[in-house]
Amino acid sequence: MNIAKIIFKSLLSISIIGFASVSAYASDSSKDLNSTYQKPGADIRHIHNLKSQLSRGGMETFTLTLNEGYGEGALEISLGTNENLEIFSTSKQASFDMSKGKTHTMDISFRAKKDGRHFINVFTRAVNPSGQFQTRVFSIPVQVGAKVPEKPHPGLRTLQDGTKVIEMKAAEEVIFD
Amino acid sequence: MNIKTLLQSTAITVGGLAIVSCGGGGGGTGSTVTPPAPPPPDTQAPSLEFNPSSLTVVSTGTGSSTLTATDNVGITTGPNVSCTNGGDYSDGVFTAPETSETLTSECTATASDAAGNEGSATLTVTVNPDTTAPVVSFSVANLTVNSGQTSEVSLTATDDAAVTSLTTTCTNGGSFSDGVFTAPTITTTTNLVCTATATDAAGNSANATLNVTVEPLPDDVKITGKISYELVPLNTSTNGLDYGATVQRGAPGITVQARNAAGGIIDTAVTDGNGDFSVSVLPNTDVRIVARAEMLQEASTGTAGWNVKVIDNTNQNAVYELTGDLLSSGVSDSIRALTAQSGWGGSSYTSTRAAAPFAMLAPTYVAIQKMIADDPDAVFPEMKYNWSINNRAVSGNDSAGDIGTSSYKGNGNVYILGDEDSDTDEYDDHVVVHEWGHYFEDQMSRSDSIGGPHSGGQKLDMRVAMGEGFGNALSGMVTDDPFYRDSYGNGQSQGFSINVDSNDNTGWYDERTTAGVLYDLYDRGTNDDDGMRFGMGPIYAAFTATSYSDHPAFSSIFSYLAELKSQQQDDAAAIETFAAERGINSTENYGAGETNNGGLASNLPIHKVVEVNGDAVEICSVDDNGDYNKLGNRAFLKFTATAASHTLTMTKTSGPAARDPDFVVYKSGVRVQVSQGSGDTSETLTATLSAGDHVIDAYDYPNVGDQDTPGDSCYNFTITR
Repeated sequence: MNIAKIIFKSLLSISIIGFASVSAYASDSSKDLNSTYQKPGADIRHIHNLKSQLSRGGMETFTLTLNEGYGEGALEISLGTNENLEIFSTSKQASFDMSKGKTHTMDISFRAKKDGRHFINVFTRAVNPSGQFQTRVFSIPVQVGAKVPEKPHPGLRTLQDGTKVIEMKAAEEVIFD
Repeated sequence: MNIKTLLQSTAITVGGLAIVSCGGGGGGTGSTVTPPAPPPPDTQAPSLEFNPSSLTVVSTGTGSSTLTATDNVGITTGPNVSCTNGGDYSDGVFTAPETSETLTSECTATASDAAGNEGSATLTVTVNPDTTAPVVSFSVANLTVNSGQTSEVSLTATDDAAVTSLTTTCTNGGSFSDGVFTAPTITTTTNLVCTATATDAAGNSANATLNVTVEPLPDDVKITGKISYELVPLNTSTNGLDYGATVQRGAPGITVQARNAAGGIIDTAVTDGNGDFSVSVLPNTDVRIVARAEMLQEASTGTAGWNVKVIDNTNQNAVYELTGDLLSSGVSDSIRALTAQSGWGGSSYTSTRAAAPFAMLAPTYVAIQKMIADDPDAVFPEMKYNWSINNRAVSGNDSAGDIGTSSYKGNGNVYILGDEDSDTDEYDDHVVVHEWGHYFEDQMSRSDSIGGPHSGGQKLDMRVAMGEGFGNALSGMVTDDPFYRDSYGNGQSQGFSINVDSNDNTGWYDERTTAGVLYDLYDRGTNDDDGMRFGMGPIYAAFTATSYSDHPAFSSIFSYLAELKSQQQDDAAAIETFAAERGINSTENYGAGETNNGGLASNLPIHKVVEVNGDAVEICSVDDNGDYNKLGNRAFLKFTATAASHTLTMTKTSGPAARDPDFVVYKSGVRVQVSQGSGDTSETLTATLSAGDHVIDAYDYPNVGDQDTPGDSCYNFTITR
């Protein structure tokens, strides 16, 4: 076995998981379940070339590439985000003919209004010729400004026995005799 | 009329007729002005009246009589009232003097007007001596109170005159004051009496008694109640969440703890199927009820075991807990009902999404209950739902919430999306059960699925088609709803559905077919349109049989139906017929005899037999249906090894240049050898194998990993010893 190839394949596996939500196969000799058994949905994967860190205020444009496992039907895309990003209206939706290839691209332009880690949600629908569809959602992280560690959940506590818990307040009704 | 009176009268009159009197101011032509006639003198006296004009009251008592006084012009003095024999009249009330004999008191009221006219009235009151005792009573005659506790009891005393004294005394250490009885501290049941005495001014008195039983404090008190969560159902038209139809559901199988102020555990319980619980605590102790997002049952003989938690993978894997208020347990049993709320504020989540963990556990509870119904000794290994509102559709660091999508990632860990306005799955019970199904296969059954993207209608690796079809079918079995639904989008308002009861007959490589087969084996009732009606028990038994999980063949719908047939021999023929109707023409472990090739001849036979030291067997790896986990990417072989060194060789016979043949050897589901060399035309492995049947997963690596150069290539496979 070629060591270099093992390393390459391991890296490739990681990159596949990282960029396309596809599980892969470790090259070890034990039976384990290192694959990802993802929920049913459209067989669509994505990659993009958005920079890993952006500055607030400027317009950014990147290319989203979608690979699908169908040979027919339509691939419908819509984008969503929150108030911290502004996606320019011309690039919020797209539709592709899946009979014309399995790779589709769309350019997305947006502007970040606030520092932080934000997301562009990519809602995809693979619609077959009879109109039935399945969906898959991807979120593209948009890091604006420096990374800031996430604050812990306000309900995070450590119990006497060391157990970590997230406290959530109940709506409670109490009845005494 | 004297002058003074005339002037006054004129002034009054002039003042009242100002317009008329202006004629007196001018000097005319000598004509005479005649003044208006003076008003007649007021000779009418004020009118006074007592109503009633006579009363009878008791000594020191009171009686009411209304005094009215009127006058045609106006009363200027009075009315004034004076009474004889010590009586008094004021503000409509006559107050009698104290007397031991009957007497009469006359009260005379007088009033006068400006003209000096005077009127009067008389009230005649007969005052009798007071010989009537007051009336005194407690609101209850008997009372039971715990040691040292208090209880409110009304004490009322009235008298025909007035109660001048009201006292209460209690025996055996009890006390009564201001309507509150206070019990003494005792250790054995103690009876006592409180006596109230009311006395009036005449010395008349009366008593009332309150009989009290004082019970010792109980050793403990019960706190019963219900743990509920708000379930947001799916809209069956849009497949999105329907917040307007949110219902409250009991949370079954949940760990409940009674904790003291310091957080120490006083007692624990598990909610029943309705979410009800009962714990015992000391009386008068500050107690908080906590419902942990956990289902835990220790296994023992005849008792199934499981351990399921919902943790926050983005916060140190902390387990979610629903907490009530810290309140005194009191001295008697009480009820506390805790509800985990959805946090939905009308158009977005505005508060803690406390219901989510419990919404995921509920269908899991049903799944476990359905399975243990026929296997009371079942032991479900530890399983965790990793859920957070930060769990997004970003692949990367799970602990940051970048989980990719809802999925099973091995070692009992299911990850569930929670990203609002993007994709949340906590209420998508079919999604939750689907992923739990992968856990079940991994930990309690067998799955050789390699995972990856998949859709109904795609031609999949048979192992993936089996695993994903099972997940979908199981979601229908557990919920008894064949429509798998998955919500997503802004406001979680969109979604899609899959009908697992669609009778799809595409074949063994389509998850729609495998899901339909498995669901139809399960379902029964009025909507059941097939001849298979096994229910959960036989389906579960086949999945958990060691003869299935340890079989040398790759797991597939073939190996599963073979196992089911072996267990349900009376129905074996019916199972074969049923499978054939669904495009599955073999029910043998290796798929021998299958005639449905999925559109490519090289897909058959399912497992190609390689004889050790025998002829080469041709296999192909193609990308016709996609890559990684699609039908034809990988070829399957079977061979029988002896305990010796074997050399396995995969040599390209056709296809483009720069291919990369690789293979992996399995025995009974366990990966025993991996051969992933870098040669572009052949792959060779020499290894010592154990005796027995083995299977091989052989592929051209560009079709399963390097997606830039997929293609079709074929190989000869040989094994020598």
